[in-house]
Amino acid sequence: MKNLPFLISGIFATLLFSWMGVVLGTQIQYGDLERSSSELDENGNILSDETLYPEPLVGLAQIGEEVYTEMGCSHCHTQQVRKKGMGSDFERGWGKRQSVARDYILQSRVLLGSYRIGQDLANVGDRDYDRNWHMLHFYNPQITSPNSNMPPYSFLFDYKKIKGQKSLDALDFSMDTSNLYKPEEGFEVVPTTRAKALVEYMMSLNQDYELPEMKFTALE
Amino acid sequence: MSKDTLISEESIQSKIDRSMQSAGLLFSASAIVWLIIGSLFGLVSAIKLHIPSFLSGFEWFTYGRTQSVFICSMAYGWSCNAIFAVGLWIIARLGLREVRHGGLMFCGGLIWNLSLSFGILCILLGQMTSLDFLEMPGGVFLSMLFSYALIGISAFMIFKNRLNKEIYISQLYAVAGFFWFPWFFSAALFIIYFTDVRGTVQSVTHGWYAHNFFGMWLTPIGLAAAYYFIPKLLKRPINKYYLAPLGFWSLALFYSWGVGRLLINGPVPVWIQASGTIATVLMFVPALIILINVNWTVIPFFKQVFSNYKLRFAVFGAFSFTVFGILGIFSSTPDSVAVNQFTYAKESLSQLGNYAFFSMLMFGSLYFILPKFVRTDWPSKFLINFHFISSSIGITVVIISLWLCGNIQGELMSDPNVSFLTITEVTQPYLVTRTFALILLLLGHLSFAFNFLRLLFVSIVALFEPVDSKQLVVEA
Repeated sequence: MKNLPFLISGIFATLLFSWMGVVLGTQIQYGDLERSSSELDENGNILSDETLYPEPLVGLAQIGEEVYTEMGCSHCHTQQVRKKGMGSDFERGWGKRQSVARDYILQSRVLLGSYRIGQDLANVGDRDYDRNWHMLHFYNPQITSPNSNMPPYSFLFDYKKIKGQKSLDALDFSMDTSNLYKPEEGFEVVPTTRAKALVEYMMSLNQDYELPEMKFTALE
Repeated sequence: MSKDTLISEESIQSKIDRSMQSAGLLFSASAIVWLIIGSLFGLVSAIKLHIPSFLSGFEWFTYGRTQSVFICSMAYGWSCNAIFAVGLWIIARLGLREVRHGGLMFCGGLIWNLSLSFGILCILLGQMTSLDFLEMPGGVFLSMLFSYALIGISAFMIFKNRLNKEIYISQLYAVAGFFWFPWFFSAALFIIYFTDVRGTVQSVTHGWYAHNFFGMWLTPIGLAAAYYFIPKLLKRPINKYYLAPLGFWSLALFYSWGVGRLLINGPVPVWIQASGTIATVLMFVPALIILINVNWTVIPFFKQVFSNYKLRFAVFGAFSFTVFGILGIFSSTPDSVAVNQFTYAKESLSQLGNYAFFSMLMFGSLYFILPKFVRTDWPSKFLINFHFISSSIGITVVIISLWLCGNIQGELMSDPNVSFLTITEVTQPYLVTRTFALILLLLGHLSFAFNFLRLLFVSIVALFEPVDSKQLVVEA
């Protein structure tokens, strides 16, 4: 081991090998993946008069995605449903089908996540939570999910004195049966734009469509 | 070797130590500061997982950000600075070549740490991405890449101009690490921040980066330290040394393909997942060779390990690498992945690699090298012993509690009849245990930092004393 150029080339080449295989290989294989209709015509072309999936985020939900990123939500939440039989993603109702590469092509920064300290969120917009539930959950998760270890995001809300009439978007605390988290008499909790955006983003998250390469998983 | 060459080699060695003094001390001091910052943020994140209201009123300290600060300050602050100090010193010492561009290295170190500080501030303010290890803004990473160039070029110059033409295995690992890092760092940086690669191609690139950060940067330098310090301190040759190059090249070839293991069952091509599993299983080749080379050299002389504090850290690290290899291989089987994926078991494995293997070896190396920079021995052996005990017990408890926690969490998550909140409750006792273990680790790091401060103080005082009373305790 005395030949320096040989040694350096070897060191360089080993990593080049995996870079070409893993990174370049995936980019060549599906880097140019486009949106698609659920079904294809007989020639395998996209049906252009049907809805193309995935659909882009609109309005507040776009800002919500940024809030999701800057709060580091993906440290605890994944946004990927595994196929039936892997864990219980399917049985828990986290998605009707396995997530595929095409679902993510519109995300400028992928938010796949790698830990499930909290639940998977790939289809959270399609589940039984309404906007007020999400608001209360962000304000303090203990209201909606006692003993959860998700931190409260109360700094995304304004706690203020009611002047005249109650604000239209003030949080509805009727779910808080413990009465521990309700604002005091004469006060209200109002979401900031960031809280509203985050909730809109939650409501927009769903992979509730079929793609040519992935249909809904059969129930049995 | 004749007496003359021995003497000249010794004088070259002390010349090398002096030539690296300012840069080496900057790297080490920064490493220790970031270690403390990282452990504090790690502790805050750990507490938040069982007391979610802890510090929750401050947006700066929300879990997502403290966890990112923890990851970045441990990776780029502690690990990289420790590598700069230890890796460069090993390359210089084995090449018998003093550092000619200490100033360049010093500037590189300054820019690196200033950029990192700015990046950490950006994370706390919310200017972050969703990619682990790449949370900071692109500009910060560009500036770090530039500062690395200053350090890396000096590393290459030392190696190219070495006087001892023989290349030892630890030198090979160290030099390779210093080459691989800018290679995958710039490639990933460019692709993720400066091209419009989207969707899960980005996840694959990011996974490739994060996987290489440990496997092609921390691992080679950790192994370089193991191969260098363990035979040196034991005064024994490496067992079956002729196998070592095979270990090196198999690690180089297989490790970075293992990225697919992180993305198993995810929305990426199946061949990526399969190649990841195969590459991980093939890692038994380098893991076995390192076991034969390093660990079997130690086993017959285990008694000596207890009496030598530097050796204790290094041996703990080397044995952890074997455990890491075994657990890594077993936890990548499809059955095991179905249960452990997305759980704390993953964090357990990562702590085993990053702390029990890499950081312990770096502690041992710094305990060896730092006295040489300042030509004074450690003022307190008690603090070193305390550091070893707290770190070894602390990290063992962290790894075991997270491993158990992750497996239970995974089993329960596979059962759709168990509600998610039940799983959170069941994992709590393990997370509380982890917090106590992290406090122990932090105490160990503080004693390391305090001892280092005293070392600096003693050596500064010695500068102003008359020459004949100057302490010149330099171990060979």
